[in-house]
Amino acid sequence: MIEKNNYAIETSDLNYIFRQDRKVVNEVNLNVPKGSIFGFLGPNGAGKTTTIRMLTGMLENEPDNIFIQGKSLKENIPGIFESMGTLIETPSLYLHLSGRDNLRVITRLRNIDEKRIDKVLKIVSLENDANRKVKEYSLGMKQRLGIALALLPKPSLLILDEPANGLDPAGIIEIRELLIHLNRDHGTTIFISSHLLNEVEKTCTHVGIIHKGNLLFQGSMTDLQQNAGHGKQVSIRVADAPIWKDLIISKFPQVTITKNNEFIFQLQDAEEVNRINKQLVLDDVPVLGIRLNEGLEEWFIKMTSN
Amino acid sequence: MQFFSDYKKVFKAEWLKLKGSGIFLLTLIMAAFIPAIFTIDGLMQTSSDIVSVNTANPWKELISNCFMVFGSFFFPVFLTLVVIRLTQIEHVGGGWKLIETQPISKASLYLGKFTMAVIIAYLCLLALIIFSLLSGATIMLLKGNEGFKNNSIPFEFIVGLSFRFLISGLGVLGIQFLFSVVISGFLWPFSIGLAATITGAIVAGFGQALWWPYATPGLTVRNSEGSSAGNFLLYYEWLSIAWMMLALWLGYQWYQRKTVKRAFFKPLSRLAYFFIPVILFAIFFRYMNEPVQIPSHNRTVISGIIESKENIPMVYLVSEPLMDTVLAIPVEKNSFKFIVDKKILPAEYYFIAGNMSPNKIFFGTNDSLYISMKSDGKSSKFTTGGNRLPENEFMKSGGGNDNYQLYFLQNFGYEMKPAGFAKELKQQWDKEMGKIDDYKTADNLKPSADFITLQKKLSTLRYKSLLDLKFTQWFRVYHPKEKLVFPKTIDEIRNTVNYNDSSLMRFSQYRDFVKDYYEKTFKLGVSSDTVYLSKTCNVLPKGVVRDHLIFNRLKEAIGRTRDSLTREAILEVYAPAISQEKMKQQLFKQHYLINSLSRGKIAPDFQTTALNKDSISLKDLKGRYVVVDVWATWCMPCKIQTPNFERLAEQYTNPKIAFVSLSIDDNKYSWKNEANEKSSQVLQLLANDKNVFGKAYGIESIPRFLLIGPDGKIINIQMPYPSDPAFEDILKREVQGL
Repeated sequence: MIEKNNYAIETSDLNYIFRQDRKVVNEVNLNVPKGSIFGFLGPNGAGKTTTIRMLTGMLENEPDNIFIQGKSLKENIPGIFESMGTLIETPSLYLHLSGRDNLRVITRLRNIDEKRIDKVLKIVSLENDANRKVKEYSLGMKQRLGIALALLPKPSLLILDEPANGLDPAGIIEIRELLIHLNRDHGTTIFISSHLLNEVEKTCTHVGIIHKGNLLFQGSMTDLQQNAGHGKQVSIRVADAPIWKDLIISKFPQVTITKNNEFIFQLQDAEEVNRINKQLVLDDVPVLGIRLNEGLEEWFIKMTSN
Repeated sequence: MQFFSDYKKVFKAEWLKLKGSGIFLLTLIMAAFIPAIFTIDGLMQTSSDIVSVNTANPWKELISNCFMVFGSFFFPVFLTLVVIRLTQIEHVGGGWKLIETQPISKASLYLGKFTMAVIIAYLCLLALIIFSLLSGATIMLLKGNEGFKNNSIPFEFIVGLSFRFLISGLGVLGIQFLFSVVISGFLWPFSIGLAATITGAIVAGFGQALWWPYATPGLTVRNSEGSSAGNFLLYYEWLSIAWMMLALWLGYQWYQRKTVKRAFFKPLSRLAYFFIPVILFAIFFRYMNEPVQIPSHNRTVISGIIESKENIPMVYLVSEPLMDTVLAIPVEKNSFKFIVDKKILPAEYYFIAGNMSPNKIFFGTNDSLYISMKSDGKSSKFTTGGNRLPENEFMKSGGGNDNYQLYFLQNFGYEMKPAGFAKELKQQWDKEMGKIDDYKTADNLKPSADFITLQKKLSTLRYKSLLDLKFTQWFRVYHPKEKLVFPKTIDEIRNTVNYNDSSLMRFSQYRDFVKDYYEKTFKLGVSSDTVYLSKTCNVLPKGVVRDHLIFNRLKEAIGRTRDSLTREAILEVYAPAISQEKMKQQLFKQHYLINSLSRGKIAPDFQTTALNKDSISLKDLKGRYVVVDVWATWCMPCKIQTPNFERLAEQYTNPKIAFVSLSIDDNKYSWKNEANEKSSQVLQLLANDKNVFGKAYGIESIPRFLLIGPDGKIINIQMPYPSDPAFEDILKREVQGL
């Protein structure tokens, strides 16, 4: 028997076959460490939501291969939700009720003190709209209410499906900070799905990349950067690029020029940036800007495009 | 235990979710609709009676009517809508995800939501009751209806009916819940509910498929008094509960496992989740739906209670045609119990208690009969129990003798060929026999075989006389040279009943049937009394049928003949041909009665009550000519004669003559309501004891008009109708100086 206690979420060979031929989830082995913020990354239609629906028991799954905080999901539904907060796809809300009444429904179902309602409303900044009917809410407000509903039981595991959906940039930053705060100060394990790499990069400690139902990568952010490190580049913007083109190519034969008149240099190591810069200064090339590309994005796009 | 704590939580959450859902508004609108229509109808009617005066309690009738209209269509549709709205709360919000990711079992979610639907259904019924009562109160206040004022609200009845009504809706609720939970749209569950309700209303309207759950509410309100056999619920109400349980089980499995395949077919062991409950349901269904025949008793017992304002020391069981007393039973402290040791032919009898109108009951050897008769002076309630309960209910329901196709054959069959006529007739007959075979009460009780055979015989009479008499006659007229040959198939109709069945002689329809047959066959119809009687004595063999024919004709002849000696002569000749002593006695008794009521004899006194509650007897009117119109509010021919009678009263206001309308109504309120409207020139009286009055004057039918002289002596006991000019002629001739 494998020790299941290290992980907040663990799956072994998770499969979901939609009709006969289409495997929406294929042999996925997730290992979400306790105390992590796990970014579940993949383009639209990769199988993220299906996986999350399986993790929350919303999709029937015959084999006993999902373990939440060391316990079999199959055996422990619905008790397992006691310490879980979830937000799947668009939030399920009672549109004819006010935001506060939506929260009260859950406090009644979970036997939570109603005082908690004001706290979560404050966390998601909905205090002023709490008594309005949800059908009058904007998409972002609905999203925040959905998060508030997930936060209500003070969960030790939070599963959020695309929480940034419909939020404005300020809202996204707020949620990001909220998640980091919950993770750091309350030790909440957070599992978020997203199709945006930079979103995950900014928040998560761990990442899993899913594409066409296959888990392509899983590990810490550091692991991810190392994995993608081979392809590091630097792009340098130069005034009157066509004039300098020949000179630069003669010095650095592998260089490429973009339409924006940026020169892209492939790097062997980090020291090379310094060498290129020195050379350009020596040649009086009028450098306007230097930007280091980590290469993660390119790597991610490359991985998920075939 | 976890289930119950979860269930409680779900219930509290569900209650909160109703806020602003529009369900309460829907409930109120649905509940208010029918009472509102009744109120408008009640206020628009010119008469102050939205419900008939004869009803014991107009509150009860109003509520029954509201439930009745609500039951067969509105209620199932309302239940469909409630369930859809309740489930739409989850569907619209994003498909159950929120509540399904709470630490709450799905079973408690499913049942909690269902419980809420049941509670809303009951709230709707309560609202319906309140609106009905408000409707009654409005009519009472605005129209001053006496009935509502004089009666109290029947709470016990309301509670019982509403509870059973709720149960009758459980099957619909369960089935609609099953569909509405798994189907996220509005249209499909609503269409299913609507189609099933309409189907139920139509099919149950024909008395078929009474187990169909969508028809149950309609059936429950049709039997608003509930079980007559003392059962808690009627059988289709039990079935409604069974439907609900089956639907809840299957629906829960389907909901929990998301697809039908996962719920019941994959893996194959899941088949048990489908088949075991379905088989259990099928067993229960069969057990409940199969009609029951109550076995007969080991003794012959008749018992019961009599509640009445009059003192009733004895009750009687009498039999047709001569109204012989079969049993005379002493009553002690309003109740009676009598063990019968003689043989009693299973048949219809009249149960007679005091002056209350006689009730027909079916009774015979080895039957246990329980009778409850309650009267408060305004109306009486007669119920029976015991092993002949289904038979007695069958008779009360009239056995369903309305057959349009038969009517058509009776009136237009002469255009048909014998084969076609026989085929059509056989079809109708088969249908009618099937109806008798299929008859069952609301408690699913079936009459015993002897009763069914008897009813079939009685129902066959119309068919047989149509074949043997009417069509045969038509055929002679239209095809004088042909020989009438019916196909063999109709022999079954002919063999069901014959023309010489003495056991059927106590049924008036059989007596008429044989009389009609022999009179037509031997062409007796148009003969004079003596020809008829002598021919009957010659051609018919001795027996009850012949007795009946002779008795009948003699009775008519006596009534028709004014001259005492002629009456006596015809009786002397033909009465000895009757073999039944009782019949002879009756004929002579009538003869003597008519003698005693002939011109110049002292008119028997009668006791009556006037509209102002004064007691008035015939003696009080001495010194004036008294012309009496004997009538009753239920007698339609009387109402045709009354205006003529009143016209004469208005015309001849001479104090020497008193125009009197004497009612023989049982219900003094019905009488009062109508008598008040009549001409002030006519003295309105109500007979204190209609039986005493009727016997004294030999009154066998009304309207009847009497003329009594100022000396209290009879002038004419059988006046022509006032519409006949002879009526006025007699008055002018007899009353000096009119």
